[in-house]
Amino acid sequence: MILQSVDFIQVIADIVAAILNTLNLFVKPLGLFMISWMEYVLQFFPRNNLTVYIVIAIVIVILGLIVNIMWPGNKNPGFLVKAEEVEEKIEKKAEALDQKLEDKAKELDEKAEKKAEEIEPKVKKKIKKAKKKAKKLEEKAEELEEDAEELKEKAEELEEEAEELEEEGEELKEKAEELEEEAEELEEEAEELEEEGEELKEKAEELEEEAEELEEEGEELEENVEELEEDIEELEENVEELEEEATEKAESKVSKTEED
Amino acid sequence: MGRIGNIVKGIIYMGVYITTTMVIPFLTFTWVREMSILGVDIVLTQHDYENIIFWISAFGLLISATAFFNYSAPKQSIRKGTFALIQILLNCLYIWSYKFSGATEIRFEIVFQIANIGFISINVQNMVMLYMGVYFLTIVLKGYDLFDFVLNRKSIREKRYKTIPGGNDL
Repeated sequence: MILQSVDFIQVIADIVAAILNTLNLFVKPLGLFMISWMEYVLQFFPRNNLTVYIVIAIVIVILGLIVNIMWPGNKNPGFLVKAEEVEEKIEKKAEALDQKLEDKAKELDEKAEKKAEEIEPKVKKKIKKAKKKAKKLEEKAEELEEDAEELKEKAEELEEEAEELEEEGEELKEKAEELEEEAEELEEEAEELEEEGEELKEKAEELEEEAEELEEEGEELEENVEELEEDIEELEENVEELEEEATEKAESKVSKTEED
Repeated sequence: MGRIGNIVKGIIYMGVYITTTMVIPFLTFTWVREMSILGVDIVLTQHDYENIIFWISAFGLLISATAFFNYSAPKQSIRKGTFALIQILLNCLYIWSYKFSGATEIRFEIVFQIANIGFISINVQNMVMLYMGVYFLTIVLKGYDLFDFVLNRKSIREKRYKTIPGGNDL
């Protein structure tokens, strides 16, 4: 039994220690702060003189008694008392005003009854006139109703026409959209063609430049051919001259030989 | 509750505080000193004992007096808030007086007579430190209460006197 009770005490001690260790982390820094100011304050407390504390305690208790006797806390505060007085005054004034209003209302009722009696025949005449006018107005209203029905019918017709026009408009819109799409496609094709044209132009320009270069080269070749022809002619003339000289020389040799 | 009711309430609470802060600690330390005679290992000299009893009496008187003022004051009044705060501060000093009076230096070791069972040791110093942290939070709470009573004084009084005719000062 003793051993079991010791185990139980050990378990409780472990639990308490765990709780205290957890709290220690949060509460201990605060405790240190508390100690710092308390150590300072305690310097001013008299030591080894209990009478000072007894006197202070008695003074506090007496003060508490006096304060409780003077202000027990069950009396209405000043501002609420004033408010109640004001409320009472307002209620009295309101009652007086109510009475005045009732008197005036009675007087006005009496006056109104008298005037009503005076006005009744006039009112009856006016009512008859008003009835006649009402009949006329009713007739006019019927006419207006008929006109309104006609207008309604016309409006319905117009609405139908408008719907048809709307449908046509939608068809036209669709067609326009199709045309727009086609136009866009054509534009794209035109752009492609333009690009191709530009490429062809560039190629043509290149070819033109090459042709010009070839022409210039041909002209140069022609000039060279002409020069060569002239040289050939000169050479032929020289050959002829040489042939003539040779013939002359040959003839002179032949004549010399003959003379010999 | 009228003035007599308030005073009676204050006296009751003052009695409670006198019992808990003065009578019980006084009896405990006297008993602890006598326990040494029964063979329990407690280090408590005559000087320590007198020192502890002095501080217990000093702060116990102040706490009990402020408790009277506090508990006899109407509910949610500024004077109640003020004295509640003062009471908490005095409580802190009271607890701390155990430390500097040397009471926490006492080691409580109760050795069982049967061998190989063990002993119980209470670290009072550590417990006092922990208590201080908890008291800090209480001071914050009481300070907030006082602040609230001062700020909302008018509305509190309106409520007290308008809802219950004759006042509700408890």
